[in-house]
Amino acid sequence: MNTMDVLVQSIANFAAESGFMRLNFGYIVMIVIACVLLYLAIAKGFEPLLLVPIAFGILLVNLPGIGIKDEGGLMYYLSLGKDLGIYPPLIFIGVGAMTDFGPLIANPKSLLLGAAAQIGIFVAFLGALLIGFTPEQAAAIGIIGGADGPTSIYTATKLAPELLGAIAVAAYSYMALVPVIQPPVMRMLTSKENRMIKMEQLRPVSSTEKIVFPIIVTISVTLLLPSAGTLVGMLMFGNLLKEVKSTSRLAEVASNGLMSTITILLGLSVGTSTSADKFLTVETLGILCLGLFAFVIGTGTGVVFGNIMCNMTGKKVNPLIGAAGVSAVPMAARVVQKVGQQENPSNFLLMHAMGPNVAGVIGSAIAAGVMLSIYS
Amino acid sequence: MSNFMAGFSTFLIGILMVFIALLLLIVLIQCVGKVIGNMEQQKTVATPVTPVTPVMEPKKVVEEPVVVVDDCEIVAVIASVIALSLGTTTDKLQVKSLRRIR
Repeated sequence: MNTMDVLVQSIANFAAESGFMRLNFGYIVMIVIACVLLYLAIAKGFEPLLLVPIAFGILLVNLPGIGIKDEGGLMYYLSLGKDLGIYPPLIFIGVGAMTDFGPLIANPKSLLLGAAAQIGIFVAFLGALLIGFTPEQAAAIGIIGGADGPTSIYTATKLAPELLGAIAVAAYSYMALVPVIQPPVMRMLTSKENRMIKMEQLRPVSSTEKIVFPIIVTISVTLLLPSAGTLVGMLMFGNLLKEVKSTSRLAEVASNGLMSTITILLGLSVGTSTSADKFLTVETLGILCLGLFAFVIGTGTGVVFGNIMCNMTGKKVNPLIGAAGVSAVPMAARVVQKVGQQENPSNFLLMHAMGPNVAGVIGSAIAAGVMLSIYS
Repeated sequence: MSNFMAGFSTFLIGILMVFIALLLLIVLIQCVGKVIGNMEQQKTVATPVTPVTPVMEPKKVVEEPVVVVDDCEIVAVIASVIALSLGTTTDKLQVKSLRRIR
């Protein structure tokens, strides 16, 4: 064998091992999806903190030959935090540390709106059963309707790990698309007159109430529904750190450093769970459709309940705030503020919408707990 | 179909449980709010109030200088702050009306 043959053979081997030779239609589609998501996140500002890590994870895992998810690869180990259900509760500590439950404590009735918006979860669950998913898979898919990424992931890891990638992508995509999906539903189900209703200013909430709140919620919810205890407990733990002055240093870490670190790890883990062979299936399409359906129904039932409260209180409640009952915090509340101001520029519904919005977080965690207690 | 019927019972139980849990929270929040409100009220009542005998001191009559506020100056300040936040200059903004709310 002369030098030329060796050289040609080496080049041939190199070419055969390169990613280009292994590219197939599935990989190309997934790379395009990743690029579109990156574009939406970076150029259009759709939830960049979540979508950039997820989209980049999708991109990485769909570059053939990378082996990042194979045993021994980086994401094989990092994904254990997601597969074992560790990251979502840790995210909840950060969410709790960033959330002010004051508007909810000031107006506890807004919890009803948070409950009403969870109906979408159970309707989508029935829809998924009708399509032919197993009850466990249907339960995991339904949770997308809560518009709560960590809860969806947590439930999927416990009930349907095989659908995790599709469920996570659907949940986070719809969370990012809250400003696009919700307004038409809100307008369709409310009258112009009701959308213009100005609500009374909320009462001030004392710091003692804010400190007692997370403790009470943790005890009562966990005793009632132990399977919801992990998520609700971590959420309330984070919130307690925020409210107690002497733990403000921990709250700062939870809401900044910890939250950012876990978001990166969770985002990349979710992204890398969407390899072309697992993601490009008819099931994924079904999950995306059901997720959207659940989200629309959740928004709708929240607004309908808002209408009921509006009529029962003699037009003191603006029904739009019901849409914030889906838990996408704080996007859903911001959408309520925006739609309300389009009708009446002097109307400020943001704080009123934050009540149902944070109630939605608790509500979706409870709904997930119900599903887990029945099907795990 | 049996899956769907079993699922329907999950549907009912699920919605019921979510509402029960959140109704329970409403009751608890209201009770805690009342208890804490009462405790804080009692604290303020229990704080001994030392009677203060008003001591009349001869008041010095100091004539405070009357500050004449120039509305145009305020308009200029507001406009420049808005311009700064919009990343533009004041000459590109037009203030059409300004109303003082008392």
